[in-house]
Amino acid sequence: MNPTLRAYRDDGALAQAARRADLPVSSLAITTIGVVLLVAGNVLPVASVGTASLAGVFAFVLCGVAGAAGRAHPRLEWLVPALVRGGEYGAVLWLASSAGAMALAPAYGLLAGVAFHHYDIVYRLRHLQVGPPRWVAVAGGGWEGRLLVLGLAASVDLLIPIAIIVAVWCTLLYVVESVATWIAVARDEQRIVDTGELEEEDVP
Amino acid sequence: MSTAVLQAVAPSASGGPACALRLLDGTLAGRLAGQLRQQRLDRIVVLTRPQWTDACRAAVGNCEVEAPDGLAGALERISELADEDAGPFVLAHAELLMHDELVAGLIRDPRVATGILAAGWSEHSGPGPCHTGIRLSRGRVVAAESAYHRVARGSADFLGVCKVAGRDRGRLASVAGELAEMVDPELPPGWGDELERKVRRCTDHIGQDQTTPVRRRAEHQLETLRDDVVSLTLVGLVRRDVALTSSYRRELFWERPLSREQVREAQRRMAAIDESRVLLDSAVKVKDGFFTTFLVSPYSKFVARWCADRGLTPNQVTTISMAMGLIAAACFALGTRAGLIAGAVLLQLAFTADCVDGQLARYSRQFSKLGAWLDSVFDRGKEYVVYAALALGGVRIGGAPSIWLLASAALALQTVRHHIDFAYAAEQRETVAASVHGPLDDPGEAGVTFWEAMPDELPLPQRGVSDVARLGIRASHAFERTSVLKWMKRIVVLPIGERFALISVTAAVFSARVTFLSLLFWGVVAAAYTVTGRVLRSLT
Repeated sequence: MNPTLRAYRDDGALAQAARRADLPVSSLAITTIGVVLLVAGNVLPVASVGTASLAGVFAFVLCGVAGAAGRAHPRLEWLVPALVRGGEYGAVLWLASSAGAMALAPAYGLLAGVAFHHYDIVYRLRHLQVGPPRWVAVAGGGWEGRLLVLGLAASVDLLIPIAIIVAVWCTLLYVVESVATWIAVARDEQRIVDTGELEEEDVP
Repeated sequence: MSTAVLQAVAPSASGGPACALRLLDGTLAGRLAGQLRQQRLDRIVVLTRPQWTDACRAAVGNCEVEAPDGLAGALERISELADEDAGPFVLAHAELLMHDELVAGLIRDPRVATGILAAGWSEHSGPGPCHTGIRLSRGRVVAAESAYHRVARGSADFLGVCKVAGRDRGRLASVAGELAEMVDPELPPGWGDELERKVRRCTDHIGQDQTTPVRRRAEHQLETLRDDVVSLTLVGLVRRDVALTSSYRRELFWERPLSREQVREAQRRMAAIDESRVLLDSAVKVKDGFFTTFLVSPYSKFVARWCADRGLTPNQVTTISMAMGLIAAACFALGTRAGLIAGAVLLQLAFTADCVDGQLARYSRQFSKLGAWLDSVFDRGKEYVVYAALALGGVRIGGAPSIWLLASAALALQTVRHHIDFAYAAEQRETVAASVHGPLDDPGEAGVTFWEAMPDELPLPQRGVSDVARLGIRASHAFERTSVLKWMKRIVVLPIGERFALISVTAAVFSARVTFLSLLFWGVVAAAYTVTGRVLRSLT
């Protein structure tokens, strides 16, 4: 798989480990199945709503992790990171909406913090050619880690406090690490400008 | 040491090298050499014909003038010079007349490491009769034309200046060496026919009812075609997979005059141009949204110039824009009608400032990685803070907390849409970078895909793609050329300008809930449109 696309997935420890395996399935197909199961569990009128919703979330996590180990589609692989993103955000929204009105604002905060990280991956790869270091993805749990934590919290009716904790933790982690990196970059750029070396290729 | 190699083989109408034609203050080649020296290119080597060495030495003071033996000799000399030092290497024709800013733009632009000066084809004029066309894909030069190589479907002109970064000099040396061996002692098979084809195309064009200056220019270009080592080297670099980007001419002046009358005419035209105004016009982004292009850029570029005169840096303007966005959010969070209207106005001002910082960066040529990242991140930050503020305001005036769900859904949809864009672009860049170019001695282009060749030049691909899909995509291409439909395509995808305008209007006139519902509705339509189009393109 295109390494850039792999970075866009924002895999946590579990999915990164799964990547090393090699399943004879199409990554695109199984991720799509995961999204379909997630939607089905949350939208279809099933007998026990709470359980179906959670089942959909866990099924999506399972399929997405399997997709990390699967084979890349030669032409449509670019759909996979978008499916993983869409599934992750959709899962958070559905979990929050079934946990009551008080969960909605923290859900927004959580999504905003996580979205910052996702945009940061893209922009850093584009401008610095190097994305966030791997420990950041692991420390933040990755998309599957976060969904597992939130899913488990929802199953024991503790979604609101856990969501707030995850939101604060992720936002602080991602923003502080990013700002620290960029301060170092800015200092390097300033040094290059000050010493008059304006050639891009001289940057080590 | 940075080196510039100028090739002076074009004859002027009165005999003698065209680069020695006199301007009001100096000669053509002298002016170009001065512009290059200003960009800290210390060593300038002029390659010319043996009978012109004295004229060139007189034309360009203080440089090395050499007379290599034919095309092979020139290529060998370029290979040796490329190997000799580090630092940027510039290869250009010696008889170019252009604005200082054009030279500075290519050489000083940190976004162009190895690249060329190019001019896009406007919608109404294709290539000239004897121009050297190139094809660009995803910002990279993927095909180039020379006297002996053709391009299947060009999209821009090569303006005769090529810059090779220090780290690519080794590859330039090996490519030039390879080409030198190929053309010595005689041209590879097929090259002679290709040159004749080009000569015939040039003379056909000259024979038609053309104005005298155009005809004369074409005639002169014919004589220089076979010895043009600049375009040939460019083809070599492209086909050996060196990554080349381009710096565009935009509204700035460029000309390759080959006679005294042409020089006089060109100088007159250049003097008639308000250089600072065209600099400003060239700082506006080419392919922007409808709202930005027609409702913001016409005046924001003057704000950019004002900022440049005051010495503001682009990063400062970016920060001001973010601050304005935060104040707009604070107004939205009040929830009252007055708050919403004030927030809407401030949001538009913040967006204008956002356009200004990009134009300021291009106008004053201050680029930095931090600046680019800040610009992008603050754009997203403004938008999503505004969503939160609208939801807060909606709840404060007594609305249901479910508005937070709408805000979250809008954030999720927009982020996913962006990630579809990012992932597709990454996939395309990878495809372009991995595409195999033809061998150096093949005048034609091997492996040109369906997308790149006109259907009547290559057979349609054999893969099982439905005719409906192909028709749909060809129709989409046709729409691209029609002005109205081209803009409609750009509006449908709901870019940032349209989004901010939508937020401002719906919040000020209706309510935050309406804002989110319209963002969601239009966003879903935009997502369906782009994903369908891209899936079809990927499959064909």
